[in-house]
Amino acid sequence: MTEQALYRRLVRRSLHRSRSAAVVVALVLLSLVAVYVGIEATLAALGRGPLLITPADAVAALENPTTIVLAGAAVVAIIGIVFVLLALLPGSRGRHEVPNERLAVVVDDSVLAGAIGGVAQRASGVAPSRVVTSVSKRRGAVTITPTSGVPLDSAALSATAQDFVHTLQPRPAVKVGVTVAANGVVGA
Amino acid sequence: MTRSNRGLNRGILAIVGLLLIALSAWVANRAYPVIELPAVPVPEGATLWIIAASALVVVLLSLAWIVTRGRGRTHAVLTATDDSGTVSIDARVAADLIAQDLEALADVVSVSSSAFRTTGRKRSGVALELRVVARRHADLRHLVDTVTRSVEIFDEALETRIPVLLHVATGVRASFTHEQRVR
Repeated sequence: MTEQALYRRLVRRSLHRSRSAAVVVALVLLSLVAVYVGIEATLAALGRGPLLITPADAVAALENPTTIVLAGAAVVAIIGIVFVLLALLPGSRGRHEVPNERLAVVVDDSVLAGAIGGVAQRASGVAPSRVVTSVSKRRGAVTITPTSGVPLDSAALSATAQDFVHTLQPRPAVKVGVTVAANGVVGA
Repeated sequence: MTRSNRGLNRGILAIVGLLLIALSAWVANRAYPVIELPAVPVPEGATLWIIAASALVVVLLSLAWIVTRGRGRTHAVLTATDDSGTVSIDARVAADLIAQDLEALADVVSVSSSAFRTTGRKRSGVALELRVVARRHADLRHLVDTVTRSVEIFDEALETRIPVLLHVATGVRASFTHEQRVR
């Protein structure tokens, strides 16, 4: 494997959550059910009395379900749907890849938000506490509360922030918008 | 980061999930018939043994899958053997060397590392994962450049090039630590 291919794989694995924990839960549940079914089947085959219910009674209960059995089936269906969703959803971890010549680099969205917010803060000249930034998979949003009487140009600030993002080139690409709050505040 | 097969993990989840949905759909269909389904025969004799044996197989396969998760971690980043013996370098050495270079940066809270084996068709080796916990307003570009430089120095010292994954994170500690600011 070349270093590029290895890095692509490392980054891909880092951007998505592993399903190991979910699989362990699913298989432990499955094993517990299998252990119980196996015990009942063995007891019935040996002609002993059941632990809780004989296989014949269990089949009869599933063939003519009572309300309790139906409620149980509903719970089982919900668990099944959760497992299928866990199998299909991407499981993004809120990180972006940043290209680098030597390293494979992944950055938490909060770090990316902080960096973008820092650029917008320096460009606007307001106190850091008045800049709020959030970054999602493809979007970044910066909200700046201006000082009363000191207008800020949100278009120019957006361009500055977007330029900074262009130099970082995070993948997936992030589109940044800067919003200047309508009401300013006085003082720091 | 481990070597676990993630595609198969998802496959197993999908299969178990679909089985559960099918089972409950069967029961629901008995209460509110929509389609005609054959009756389940009452298990007797040899069938009971087959059920018990299948249950045992399911349990054994599940346990085998569970205990093999998370493999591939290792301590040694590099192992070199020659006539006089074997030298191996611990992942923590790499983290310490890089942490030393990052100490000057006020933005960095902590540096940790782990090494894991990578497999490939042509080559299998060891990759290093560096986890740098930074403050929220860290200068990201400067931080990444600094780490790149220290990794290059590390490369030169070892006379080889180890694959490195850098993960810049903000931890709980980073958000609680007071931000140092000089006005």
